[in-house]
Amino acid sequence: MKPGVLHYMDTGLRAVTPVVLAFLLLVISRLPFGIEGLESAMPLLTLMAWYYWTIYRPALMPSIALFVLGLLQDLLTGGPLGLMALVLLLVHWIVDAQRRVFLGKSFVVGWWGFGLVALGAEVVIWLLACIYYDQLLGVRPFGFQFMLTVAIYPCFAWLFSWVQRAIVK
Amino acid sequence: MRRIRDNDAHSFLPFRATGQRITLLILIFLSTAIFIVGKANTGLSDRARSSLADVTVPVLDVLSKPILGLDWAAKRVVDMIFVYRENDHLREINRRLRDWQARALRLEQENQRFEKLLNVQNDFGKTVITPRVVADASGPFVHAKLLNVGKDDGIRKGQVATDDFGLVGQIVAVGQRSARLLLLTDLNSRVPVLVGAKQNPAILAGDNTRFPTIVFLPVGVQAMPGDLVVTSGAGGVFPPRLPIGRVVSSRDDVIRVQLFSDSDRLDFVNILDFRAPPKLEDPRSIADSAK
Repeated sequence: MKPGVLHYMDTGLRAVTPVVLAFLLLVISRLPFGIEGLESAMPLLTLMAWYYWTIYRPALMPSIALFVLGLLQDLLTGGPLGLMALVLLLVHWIVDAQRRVFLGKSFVVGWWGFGLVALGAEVVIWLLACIYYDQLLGVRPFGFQFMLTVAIYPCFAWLFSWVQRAIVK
Repeated sequence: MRRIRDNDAHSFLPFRATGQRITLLILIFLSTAIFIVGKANTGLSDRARSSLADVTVPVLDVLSKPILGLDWAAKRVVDMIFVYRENDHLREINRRLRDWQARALRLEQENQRFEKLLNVQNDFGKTVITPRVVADASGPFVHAKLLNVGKDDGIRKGQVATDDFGLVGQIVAVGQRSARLLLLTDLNSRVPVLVGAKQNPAILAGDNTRFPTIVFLPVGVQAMPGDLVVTSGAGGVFPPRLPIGRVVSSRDDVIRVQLFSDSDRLDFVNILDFRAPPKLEDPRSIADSAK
């Protein structure tokens, strides 16, 4: 039987779910939560999405989507334009090359891998920000952001795996 | 031999994988180029930012409402738990404030009399609009907020924002329906101020910490913890004598200021309309103002 329009729409919607979810996380991470000190150390929610989908469904997180979402993040945060896009593409490059190390391994291995990736990303963000602003920036907010990001990764990894099982398939 | 990738049927085709790799490299190159161009020409990225903010602000406006609601509910619960203790505390504060009020009224009358005698022209700016903060445009290297008003509401670049306690920051970019507010704590924030009872001129400079620093104090002048910091109005961007904060420490030659404004709990801000008096050196501006 020939698949109908609805079938294509269904697979299409399932396929764009990871990118849409990453976009929602980007918007959510910009909301004014009013929690003391959180604004400068807001966890990199989008990095988690990119990391997870690059490992488990790389075809659904193409580099062009990374580029566009990275630029959107730069525009929304008021940081140097191109910075997050560059960092996320580099992350994508590295994780994509190493994804078989993490596939099928226990969750702790994935978490540990995310910690390494987040650390690398924060160092690159810090370096590029120092270059952009022509001065040595304090590392503390970057450190806090790194720790928060790694600490809450399990919650989001759980969310993503649920989405993967329930919607993306 | 090339090994088959798990889970990714598309990668069976070697040319497809190469194509993806080339796309990735092109995009990395493109981001680097954007980064470099953005550093050289900040106006371009500011314009792009304002147009995007115009589109996203209505969305963020709706999304941030439930958070405000939750925040309000949480505050109510906490208030109810501590209502008795809070009441005692408020009574004590009220007693002290009455005392202050009497002194303030006396000083205000006295001040008005002096200003009349000296024929002082005062312009502290009037609140034109009170927009809502809809998004936090902050990160480890930026401290800014996104507001739900723009050119359509009469907002101009350079206008000054305050909350109930003091100066918050300055509008640095304006779109049709959105505006970006740079906080005093941001790395790029510089405000001419007066420090202490002697009114020593200096600059308040943000450095991405919660406590901005005082720089360029006159040589030999010391700032003491507790010294009041207010805007000086020099340069004509900020209205004079807006309260900013108090000096908290001057360790290691770094003088830090605790702000009166509360940027963590910023729901609404007041935008002041302040126009600097015309500069006397420029004859054209005098001619314009005489028209």
